[in-house]
Amino acid sequence: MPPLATYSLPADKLEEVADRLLTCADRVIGPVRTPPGDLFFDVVRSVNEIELQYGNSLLPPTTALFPMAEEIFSVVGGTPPVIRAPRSDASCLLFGIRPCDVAAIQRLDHFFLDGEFKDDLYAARRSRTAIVAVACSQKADARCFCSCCDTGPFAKTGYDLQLSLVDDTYLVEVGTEQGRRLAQRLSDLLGVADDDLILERERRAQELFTELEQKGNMPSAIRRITGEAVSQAVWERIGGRCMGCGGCSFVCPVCSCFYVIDQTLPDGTVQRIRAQDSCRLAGYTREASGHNPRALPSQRAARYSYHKLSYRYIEREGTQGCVGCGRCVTVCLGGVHMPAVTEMIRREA
Amino acid sequence: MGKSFTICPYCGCGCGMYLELVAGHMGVAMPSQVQSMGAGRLCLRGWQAGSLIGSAARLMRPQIAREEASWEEAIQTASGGIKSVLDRGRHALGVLCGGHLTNEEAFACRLYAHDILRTPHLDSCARAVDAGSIWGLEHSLCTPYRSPPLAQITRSDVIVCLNSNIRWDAPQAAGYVVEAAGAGSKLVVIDEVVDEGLGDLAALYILHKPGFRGVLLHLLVEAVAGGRRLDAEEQSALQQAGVETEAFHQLSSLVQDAKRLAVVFSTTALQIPQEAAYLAELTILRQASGAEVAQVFAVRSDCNSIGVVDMGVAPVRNGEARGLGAFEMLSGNGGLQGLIVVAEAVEQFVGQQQLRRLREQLQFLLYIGSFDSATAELADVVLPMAGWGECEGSFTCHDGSIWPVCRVISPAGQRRPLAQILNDLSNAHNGSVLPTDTSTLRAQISRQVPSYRSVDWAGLSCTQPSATVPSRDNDIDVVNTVAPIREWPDIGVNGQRPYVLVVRRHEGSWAFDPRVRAAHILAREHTDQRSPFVIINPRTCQQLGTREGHSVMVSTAFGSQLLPVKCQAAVPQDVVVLPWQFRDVAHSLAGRPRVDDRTGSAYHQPVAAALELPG
Ligand code: SF4
Ligand code: SF4
Ligand code: SF4
Repeated sequence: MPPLATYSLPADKLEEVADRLLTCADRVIGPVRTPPGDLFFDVVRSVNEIELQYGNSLLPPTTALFPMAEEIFSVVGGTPPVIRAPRSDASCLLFGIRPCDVAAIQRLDHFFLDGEFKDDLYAARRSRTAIVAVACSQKADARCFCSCCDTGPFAKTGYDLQLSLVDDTYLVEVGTEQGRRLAQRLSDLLGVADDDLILERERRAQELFTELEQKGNMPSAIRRITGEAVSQAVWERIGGRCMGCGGCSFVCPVCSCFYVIDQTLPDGTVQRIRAQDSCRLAGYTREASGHNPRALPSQRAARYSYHKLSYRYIEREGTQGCVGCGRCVTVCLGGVHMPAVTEMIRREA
Repeated sequence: MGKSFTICPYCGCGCGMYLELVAGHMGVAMPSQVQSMGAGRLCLRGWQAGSLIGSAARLMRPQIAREEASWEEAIQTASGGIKSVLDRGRHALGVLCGGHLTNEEAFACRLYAHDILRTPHLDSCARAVDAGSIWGLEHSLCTPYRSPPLAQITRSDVIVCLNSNIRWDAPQAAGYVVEAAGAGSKLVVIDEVVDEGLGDLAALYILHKPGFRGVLLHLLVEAVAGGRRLDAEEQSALQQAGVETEAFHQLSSLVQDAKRLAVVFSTTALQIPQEAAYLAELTILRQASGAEVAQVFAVRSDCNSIGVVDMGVAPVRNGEARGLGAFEMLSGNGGLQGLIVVAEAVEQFVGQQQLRRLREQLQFLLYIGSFDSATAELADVVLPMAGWGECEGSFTCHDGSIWPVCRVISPAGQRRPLAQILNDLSNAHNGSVLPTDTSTLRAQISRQVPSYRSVDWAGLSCTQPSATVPSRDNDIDVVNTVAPIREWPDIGVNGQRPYVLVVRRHEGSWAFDPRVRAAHILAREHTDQRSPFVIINPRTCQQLGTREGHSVMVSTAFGSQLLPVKCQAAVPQDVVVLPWQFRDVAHSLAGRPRVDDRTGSAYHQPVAAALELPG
């Protein structure tokens, strides 16, 4: 989808843009470094906190929409008991997220909003969230592979505003009406984006795209998984290597498994919590009877890959379940992350 | 930012993580990529550590005989119980601490045990579990042992990994092994079962008969030291160990040719000092004959195993005052009349039956802890203490670096910080005062623990460990005197008992840790790890004419028990694995664990077993 409008922005004005955007929402979530040096997408209070030199964060910015854990409601004791649902009308602006994560949000939108059931918690957050993406002008991380998933190095849709660096100028693209309103707040900083700038960004992106790893693993894995051509031995190898940490799901911006639990607080309040879960864990599918349809790690490994890469799911969800962010490569204790799995599948062919 | 840097409260890998409070009462843990231990990975326990906060399974109020009581009553009752035990002499009382106490908490325990109660019996199960291998390493290396940072595993060209169950007991160390093997290091796994996970990456997998690891390591040291082939007697020993000559030669060549050798294991897997001593010898030999570096990475059993011992939580051994080790205290043979257990569910180590027997012998049992457990259930008095995330402190990690442990929420319910509880007990005991705040405790640690003298506590931040603490003073009295294994083990396998039963750490080893039971997803993941079973080879299962989930009668010279089977191809056909966490079953089938006199560690030897269908 072509952008609604395009502008240019001198690169040295990025900080000012960030500063202005801080006033555009009740909560701005951007790249912030902890004192030890880890990068998180977290609440930004002042522009100095924003880290402008970053690859990508280990925890995805999608946690702003689908948190690691959240309260659904709580019941405060008494007669009659009172039900409290923590709803907030606060608006949120996600600043600086990468194109792969923009693609992941589109997939989450589809999962939480487009099905038979709409997820209220997600819907409420999503409707008040604006996305300001920063395209990758170089490979964000040694481990990412958006080029194999068609999700980068710049986003084609899904953003409100997108900034792409071309030498000392940003190409600013407006993706939505919400983005147009944000651009208006920046109007005095923005200039005209001439065709050269747009073409140059395109050329650079193409260059980067070719530079990025272009193994045929992903299409081959999609084909073989869809055709159920992957042997049991490969799933057993992958399952055997998996240490069941769940990390691949917890860091994946596309994963949407969760569990719901009630916990009683010391004052007697009962809190219903939803927290992220993982289909790599045996208990995720264990039924009340004790029967587990996916009792073996190999079955869970297969299931995980099917959901991400089988064409049946791609058809249903609109896109594949991996956006190539590379986070699972970092967290996987067993070395059986997405690129390793697609490689094992291709090699077997 | 709401994220506080901290260290995982479980195993000895000491992974760095962030803890964040959500919805006021729920913790979320996230890995750190920059801290030296971790590289952005956590195991399931680490990922789920946040749910310890907010869990309903925590102890919230003091109890007397399982009835809720006020703090005042509980302290008075506890103090009365302690006094009546001490009336029989200070040797009648023991103090047993968890290896996940912070340095500050452990030091407070030492002050309380030594200065107030004056008992020599102070220990932690973590120390006793680690002791076998650490003692062996130290006596071979002739120096106090600290592991190098685990990240250095990735620099090796050859990695020798002992027991594949490092994947469950020290997952982060296994993560580094996997990373290194993926990047081209040659991985050798030595084990009694064939783990698919590490097996998939191993250049060489040495499968040996249970109980023969020491023999194998002895032969390996001989081969590497002499650069020679084995003589006839050694060949026959190798055969008994079930290792093919060719595989053995590959193994010794790999070790001999290693430029950067890493030997990796979890202390939970190597309880026999001699075996660890051999491993240390291998590194010494390689270092002396051309390797750039040869290191042992022994990961301890608990997150602050090292710090707790550094703070003095270890049995006093000087002259006539011979303090009992943890397992001696728990065996009931030490003559204790009273026991104070701090933050340790001791049933995990000795089983429920032994715990109940011990309880019958004790006149008084005090439990101070954060989570409910069988130990708490049997205690006369329970005092609820603030847990991980509720108190600031520090851990000394495997490489001796000190890291902060954060506080993200105030203690829930009526829980109190441990130092405050110990002060209240001291006060009630004889009017003494103990330090309760972290800074006073730290100042005192610097004064009294020589290796912590130069620690810059004020600078202790999550950015940098404030200091890498040298290990404690060299108090190793005997040098290189670990006796070599001369006799080959006789497990007693025969026609009537053709199988070998091994009690082994396994993925569910911590299923009875009350913290695991209290954390939602962890609890869920371990529901099927809490009722006893044995693991056998699918072929064995077929031969017996039974199926997964059905029970077989397992008999040894010690006893028989009907147990459901799980089938795993990883287990050799003549082996039966009993997961470690089933302590009561282990005692009934493999006898009382052997307690090592020098170290206080306790372990089960493999035993011959028969398998039969019931009835
Ligand atoms: S599967 Fe891995 S690389 Fe793909 S989106 Fe998820 S975390 Fe990123
Ligand atoms: S990150 Fe790796 S080890 Fe952990 S659950 Fe996923 S596949 Fe398994
Ligand atoms: S490997 Fe050990 S320290 Fe690391 S997350 Fe797991 S239990 Fe915690």
